[in-house]
Amino acid sequence: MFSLDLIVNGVTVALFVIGLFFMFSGAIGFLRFPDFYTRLHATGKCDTLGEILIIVGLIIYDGLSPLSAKLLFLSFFMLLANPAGTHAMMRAAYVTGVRPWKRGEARQ
Amino acid sequence: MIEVFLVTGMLIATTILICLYRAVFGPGAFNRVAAASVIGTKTVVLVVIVGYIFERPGAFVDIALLYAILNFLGTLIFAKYLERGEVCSA
Amino acid sequence: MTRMSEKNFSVLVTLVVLTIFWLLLSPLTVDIYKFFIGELHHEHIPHVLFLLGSAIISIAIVTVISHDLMIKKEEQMWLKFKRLLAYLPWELYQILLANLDVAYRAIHPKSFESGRSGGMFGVGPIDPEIIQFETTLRSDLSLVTMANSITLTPGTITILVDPPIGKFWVHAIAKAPADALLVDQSMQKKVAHVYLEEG
Repeated sequence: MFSLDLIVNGVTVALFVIGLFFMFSGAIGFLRFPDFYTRLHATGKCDTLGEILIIVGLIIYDGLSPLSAKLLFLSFFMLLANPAGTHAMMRAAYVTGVRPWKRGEARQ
Repeated sequence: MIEVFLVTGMLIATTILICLYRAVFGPGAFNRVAAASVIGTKTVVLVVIVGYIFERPGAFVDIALLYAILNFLGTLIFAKYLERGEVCSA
Repeated sequence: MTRMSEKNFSVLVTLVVLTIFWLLLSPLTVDIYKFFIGELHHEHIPHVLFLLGSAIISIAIVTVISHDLMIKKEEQMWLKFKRLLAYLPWELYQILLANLDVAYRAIHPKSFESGRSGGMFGVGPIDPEIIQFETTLRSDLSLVTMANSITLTPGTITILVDPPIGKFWVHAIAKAPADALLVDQSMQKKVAHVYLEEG
């Protein structure tokens, strides 16, 4: 009744749903937050975890194979590269003097 | 499972559309560069999903890896250019 | 561990990493496997040998050019590595918390208007500020770990680091995460413990 395929597919779908929730909240935060710095808060964190969860779902769907090794490497690369890119953009904005938003101002 | 992959791909494309608003209207260069970077990382996942839809994931995962590396380099180069006004000092 | 000179160590690590990376990406991995179980067709052997030779040559060239960029030998490396592995689960838990935190702030309908606090983590939605603080960390690896940990924990992102005095500029999305970093300082102590520096 409960075959292994069914369990694997269910776990994959669950990981997809959680990942998509994080990706959507990241996108909504990117749209709604008032200035550049807070927008990077939304994308730098939510997108990384959402994408990694989707890729982990694909790894579980695929089982033990060379393809899963590649996908695992891809997720590790994202875990390292996304914060580094966020940090680089943050630093560029701060050095060139983009003014951070304070509570009570109009959104930029 | 192909229906699941199709729906997931369409939803990821929807989040890309939401981020496209910032890339087009977002005030200033920084918002646009951030939007481009975010769209790039979302596209990496979308490419992998499309590979599973076409049932040729092997080839598409290679493309996704390459795209991830190129996107990371592009983000770093844009950030450096905006910071210093030049990419490579002579 | 046996004594090994600094250069030999970095060359060895670079070689191993590049070889694993090549095996991961190359379709020849399947052919090599077939060769060892005796299923590879004789006509394919010269082709495989040619590609294998070019792989070895390119790995050697990259190693000679860039082995000093990869990793440097440090004191008590094995102990630091073990402590880093013990640090990772706490970090993963913090990543999950950070994502729930940002998702809550993004979806909350009144993120910008009222000054009241409250909500899931006892913090008001958005009240950004930039804080600066100095740490006792000095080495490159510990500063990198600290900066990445700050970026991945709830509500804070590193902007700038000044290595000689261990100073951090951090953008915090609200009061509570900033206080967690300034007053509590538990993360700083954990990183100092991993890299055997005095906290």
